[in-house]
Amino acid sequence: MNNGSKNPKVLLDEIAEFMAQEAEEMSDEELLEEVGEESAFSHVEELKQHMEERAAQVRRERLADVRARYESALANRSARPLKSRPSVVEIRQRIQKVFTNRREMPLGVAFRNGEYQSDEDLFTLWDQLCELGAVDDKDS
Amino acid sequence: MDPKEGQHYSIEDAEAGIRDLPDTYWVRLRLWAAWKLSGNCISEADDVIADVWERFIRGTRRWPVGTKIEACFWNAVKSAIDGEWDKHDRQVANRHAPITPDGEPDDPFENVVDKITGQSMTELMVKGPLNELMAAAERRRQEQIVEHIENSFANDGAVTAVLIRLEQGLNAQKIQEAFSLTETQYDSARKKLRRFLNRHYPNQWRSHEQRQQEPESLA
Repeated sequence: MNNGSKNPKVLLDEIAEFMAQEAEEMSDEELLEEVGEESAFSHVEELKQHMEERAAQVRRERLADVRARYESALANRSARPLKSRPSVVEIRQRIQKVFTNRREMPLGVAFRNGEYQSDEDLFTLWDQLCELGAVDDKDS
Repeated sequence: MDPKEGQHYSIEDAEAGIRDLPDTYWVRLRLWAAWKLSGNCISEADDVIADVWERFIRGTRRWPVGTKIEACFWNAVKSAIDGEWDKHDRQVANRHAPITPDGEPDDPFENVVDKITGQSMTELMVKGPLNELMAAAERRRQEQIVEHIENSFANDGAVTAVLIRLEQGLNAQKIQEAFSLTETQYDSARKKLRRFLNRHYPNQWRSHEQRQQEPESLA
C-alpha cells in the first residue's frame, strides 16, 4: 500500500487526525477500555493537580495585587499633609455649634455630642466634619 | 437578537463549571488533544489544557451564556492547539533562519560560496549532510511506524481499506463501495484500527526519548 513515494509523515498526520476524531466520538465505555481505566484516571488526577497548582498561583498573584493596591492606597492616605487643628476646647465649642445650629440633630451623631467625648474622638469627628464641609478648617 | 448574546458567566461560575466536569471528560480531552498535537515538537496535551484552564480562571477566556461549559472548554483547547501548531511551524521555519539581536533575518554566510561544490554556505548548512542524516533517521522511524501498522493488518482487507481511505483522503462511502464492505463491516474495521493504535501508540508517534527532550528532528 505504501509504495514509499508518499511522505510517511503525511500519512501519520492523517491517521492522527482520524484518531482525534475517534476520541471525540467513541463511547465512554470504549474510551475507558482502550486507554485503560485505572491509568487514565491516574493521569487525570495528575492533570487536575497541575491545574490546581496553576489556580493557586493565580490566587497568589491576585492576592498580591490586591495587597499592593491596598498598601498603595494606605501610603497615599498617610502621605497627605497633616492638618493643623484648633485646640480641643475650640473644637468642642465649634462642634457643639454645628449641631445646635441645626433644627434636627441626626441621631447617629447625637451620642458623640456629650460631655464624655475623649479628645481623640473629638479630633476624629472634627476631621470628618472638615471632610464633609460642615466646618471650615481654614478658620482654625 | 438573543438578549443573552454577548453575556458571559462570571469567572467563579466558569471555574466551578470546569471543576464539575466528569473524569471521563478529562480522559477523552487528554486523548483527543494528544492525537491533535501528534508531531508537534513543542507542546504536550496536559500543558495546553492547563494553559486554557488558567485563561478561564484569569478571566482572559470567558464562558458565554447559552453555551455548555464542556463545549466551551473543548473549543478553547482546540483554539489553543491551533496556536501551538502555529508556534511549532514558526520554530521549524526559524531553525534554519538566523536572526540578529533585533529579530531581523541575518545570514552571515549569505555571500559565501563553497569553492568545491559551488553552493552557498547557507544552502550547504540547511541541506547539508548533518541535516540530511537527521531527516533521514526521522523519516526512517516514521516509515517503520507506517510499516508496523500496515503489516499488522496485511491480511485484514477491511482495515486495509480504512488505511487506504486515510492515505488517499477518500470518503468512507467510496471506500466501502470499492471494497464491497457493509457499513457495519467498515465501522468494525475502523474500531479495530483505533483499538490497535491506542494500545500500541499510547504516546502517539513520539518515542519515549522524544518525550523526554525536545525532538529537534521532528519537522
